[in-house]
Amino acid sequence: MSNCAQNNAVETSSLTKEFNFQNTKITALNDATFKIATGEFVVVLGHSGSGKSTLLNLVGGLDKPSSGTIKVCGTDLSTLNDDSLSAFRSLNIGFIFQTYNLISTLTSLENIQFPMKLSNVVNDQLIKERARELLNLVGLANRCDHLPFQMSCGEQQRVAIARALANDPPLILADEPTGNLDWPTGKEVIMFLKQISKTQKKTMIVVTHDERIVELADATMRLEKGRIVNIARHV
Amino acid sequence: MLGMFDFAKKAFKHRKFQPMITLIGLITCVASTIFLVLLGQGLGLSVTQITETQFTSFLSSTISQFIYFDTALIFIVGMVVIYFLFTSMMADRQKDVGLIKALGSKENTGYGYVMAEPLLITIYGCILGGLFGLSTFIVYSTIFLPNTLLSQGLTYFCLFLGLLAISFCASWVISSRKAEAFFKNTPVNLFAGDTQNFDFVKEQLTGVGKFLDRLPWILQISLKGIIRSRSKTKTAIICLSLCIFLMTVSLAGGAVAWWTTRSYVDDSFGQNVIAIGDQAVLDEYKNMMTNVLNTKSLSSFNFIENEFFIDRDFIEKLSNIQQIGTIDNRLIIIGHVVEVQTIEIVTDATGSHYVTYGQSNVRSSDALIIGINTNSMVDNLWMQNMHIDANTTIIGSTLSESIFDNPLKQKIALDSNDSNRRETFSISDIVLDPINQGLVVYMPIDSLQKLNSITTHNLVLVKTQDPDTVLEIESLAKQYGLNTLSLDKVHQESLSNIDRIWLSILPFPILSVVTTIIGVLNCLLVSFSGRQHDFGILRAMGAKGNYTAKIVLMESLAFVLPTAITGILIGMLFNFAFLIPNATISAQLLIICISGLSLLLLCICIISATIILKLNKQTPTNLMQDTQ
Repeated sequence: MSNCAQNNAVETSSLTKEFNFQNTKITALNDATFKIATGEFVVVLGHSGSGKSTLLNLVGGLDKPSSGTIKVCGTDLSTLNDDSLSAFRSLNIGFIFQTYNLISTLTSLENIQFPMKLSNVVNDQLIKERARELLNLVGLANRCDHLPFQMSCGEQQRVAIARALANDPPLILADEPTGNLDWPTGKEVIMFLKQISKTQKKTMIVVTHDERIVELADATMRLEKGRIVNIARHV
Repeated sequence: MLGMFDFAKKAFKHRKFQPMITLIGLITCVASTIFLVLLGQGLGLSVTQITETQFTSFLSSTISQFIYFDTALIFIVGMVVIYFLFTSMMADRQKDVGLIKALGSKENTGYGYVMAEPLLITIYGCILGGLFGLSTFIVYSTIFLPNTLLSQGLTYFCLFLGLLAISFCASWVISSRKAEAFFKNTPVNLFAGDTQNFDFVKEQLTGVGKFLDRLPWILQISLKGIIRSRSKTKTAIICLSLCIFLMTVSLAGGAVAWWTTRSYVDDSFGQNVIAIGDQAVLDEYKNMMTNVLNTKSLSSFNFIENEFFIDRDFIEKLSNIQQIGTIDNRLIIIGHVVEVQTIEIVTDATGSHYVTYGQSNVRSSDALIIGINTNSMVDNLWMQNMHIDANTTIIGSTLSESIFDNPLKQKIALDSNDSNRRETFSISDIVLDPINQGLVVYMPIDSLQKLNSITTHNLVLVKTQDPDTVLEIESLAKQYGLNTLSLDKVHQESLSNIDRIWLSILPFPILSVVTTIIGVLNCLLVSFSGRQHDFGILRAMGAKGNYTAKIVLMESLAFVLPTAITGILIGMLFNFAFLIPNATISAQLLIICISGLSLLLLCICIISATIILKLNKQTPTNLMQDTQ
C-alpha cells in the first residue's frame, strides 16, 4: 500500500483545517505545504493554539482536512475510505499522545499487543514476544502486568512509545511526548525516540513547545497562528 | 462567579450524550410506571369486577395477580434502571469530584456542585415523565375505559401525584447516595477511576487470567474490560438481571397465564363433543359454560322438569350408531351445598389435640351439581389421580374458596331437590373448571340420582367428528323431541371471551417490554458511552469501525448472556411458583417463550452495537475528546 523508502515520508499541499465554534469559523491550520524526507527527525514547534496538534492529527489521518492534500509514504490519505485509512494507520503510523491514551482496563503488555492484533498478526506467541521485547526496550520489562494507573507518567509514556513501535511503522507521530514529564525524563524520552529514528530509519515528527528539543532535531518546523512560518533543516 | 446550577448546565451541555440518556431513561421509567399503575388501577377495577363475579376464582386471581405483579415489577425495575443510570453518570463525574475536592472545596459546597446536575435531571425527568405518562393514560382511558376515568378521576389524580412524589424521592435518594459515597473518598482514589481495585495477582491466582488469555483476542479484550471495571459491571449486571426478570415475568408469565386459562377451558370442553338434550337445558348449559363476560346472576334454572329427562330408548338407539365412541350420560341440577365442619385429632410431641376445619355457622351456596359416570367421560377434565366413588365429590375452585377453609379435610353436604334430605360426601379433589364460574360439584350420577329420587338423566354428551354421524344423531334426537348443540362452537366462544380479557391486559406486557428494552439499551449505551475515549484510541491505532462494533457486541453479549440466564430462569421459576402455580404449559410454548426472550435480547444487543457504531462514525480525534 505504501512505500516510504521511495517517497517522502510526508508531503502536504495547501493543507487547511477550519472549525466552527459558536457560528465563528476558526482556522486552526492555514495553507500548510511541506515535505518530510524518510528517516528525518522533525520537531514541530509553536505556542499553544498555533495548530501543531491539528497538523499532527491531519498527517496521522486522525482528522480530515477542510482542504488540501496529505501524502504519507506516497499514499494520498484523501483517496482512502474510513476502513482503508484505519488499515493504513495500523501498518504505517505509530502515535504517541501527550496524555498517553493507554486503554485503562488493559495491562501494559496487553496495550502493546493491541496494534499487532489489529494488523492481523496471527501468531499469538510472536505477538507476546514482540510486546515483551518492546517493553524491555523501553526499560519496563518488570511492568508487564501493570494497569496504566499503577504506573508513573514517565512509565506510561514509555508504554505508549512501545505501543507506537509495535507494528514497526515507518512513521511515528508524537504529540507533546514530554509535556507531562520533567526535563530529565523528557530528555530521556526524546533521546530514545531519536535513537530509534536513527537505528531503525524511522521518520519521526515530534510536536512540542519545548525549545530545548530543537538541538536534537534534523529539521524544525515553526507554526504561528495556524501558519508555517519557518522550516529549517540542520546539517 | 460560576454557580452550581450554571456548573451543572455546562456539564450537561458539554457531555450531552450521557445525561441525555439518563434523562430519557428517567422519563421512560416514570412515564411507563405512572401509565401502568393508573391503568392497573383502571383495569384492575374493571377486570377484577368482571372476573370476581363471573369467572372462576382461579382465572380471576391469575389475571389480577398478573396485573399487580407486573405493575409493581415495572416500578421496581424502573427504579433500578434509574439507579444504574445515575450511578454511571456519577462514575463519569468521579474525576470531577476528585478535582473539586482537591481544589479545596468544603464538603457542602462541593456536594452542591456535584448534585446540581442529578437534581436538574431528576426534576426534568420526573415532570416530563409524569406528564407524558398521565397524558398517555388519559388518551388511552378516553378511548378504552371512559367510565372508569370519569368515576375515578380524583383517585387517579391522587395516585399520579403520589407516584410522582415517590419517583422523585427515589431518584433523588439514589443519585445523592452515590455522590455521598464519592465524597467520602480521597481525591487520589477518585482520580484513579474504576480500575483502582483491580488486582492482577488475584486474577492470575484464581485462574481467571489464564482462562481469559486463551480466548480469542476480541473476546479477551471485551471480558477483561468488564471484569476489571468491577463496580460498574456489578451494578450493570444487577440492573440487567432485574430488567430481564421483569421481561420474563411479563412476557413469558403473560403467555403462560393466558395459555393456562385457555387450556383449562379446553380441558373442560373436550373436542368434537355434541351435547344432546332438551333445547331449554342446552341453552342453559351453554350459558353456564360461556358467561365469562356476562353480567347475568347465577342460574336458578330448574333442570329436573319431567320434560327434560331423556328416554332410555334413545340412549340404546344412540349406542347403535357405530361412529360414536363414548356416550357420556349426565344429570345436571342446580342444588344447594353446605360446608361440613370437620374435627381432626392430631397427635404430636405435645400429645393429642383437636384441629377444627370450617366454620361453626356453616357456609352454603348454590352450585351446579353434575352427576357423571367416570368410565365414560368425553372431556379431558379428569386428569391423573382424580377419582370419585359413591361417597366422594370433586368441587370447583370457586366453590372451594367461597365456602371452605380446607376442602380436602372437610366434607360437603348436598340437599336433595325437595330439601327433605341432606347427604354428606367427602371431597377428593378441586377442579379448575370455568363452568358456572367454578361453582360446581361433580359426583357419581348414581349418588345424585339417589339423592333426588331420579332414575334417569337430562344431558348426553357424545364425541364424534364424522359429519354423517352428526346428521344421524340430529335426526335421532329429533325423533325424541331433543336437540343437539356442538360444544366446539361454545368452546370457541369461551376461548374468545378469555382472549378478550387477556387482550385488555396487553398494554402491561407490551409496556413492560418497552420499559425493559429501553432500560437494557440505556444500560448498555451508558456503559459504552464511558468507553468512547477508548474507542477513539483503538481507531487511532488502526481499528476499523466494525472492530469497535464487534467489541461492543461482545461486551453486550458478555453482559446480557449471564444476566439473561439468571433473569429468565428466576423469572420462569417465579411464574410457576407464585404467579401461576397451576400452570399448564406445553414444552413447545416454553421453548417459544425462552427463544423469543433470547431473540429479543439479542436484538437489543445488536441495536446497541449499531447505535454505538453510528456514534463512532467520527474521527478518532473527536472520539478521544471526552466532552466534544
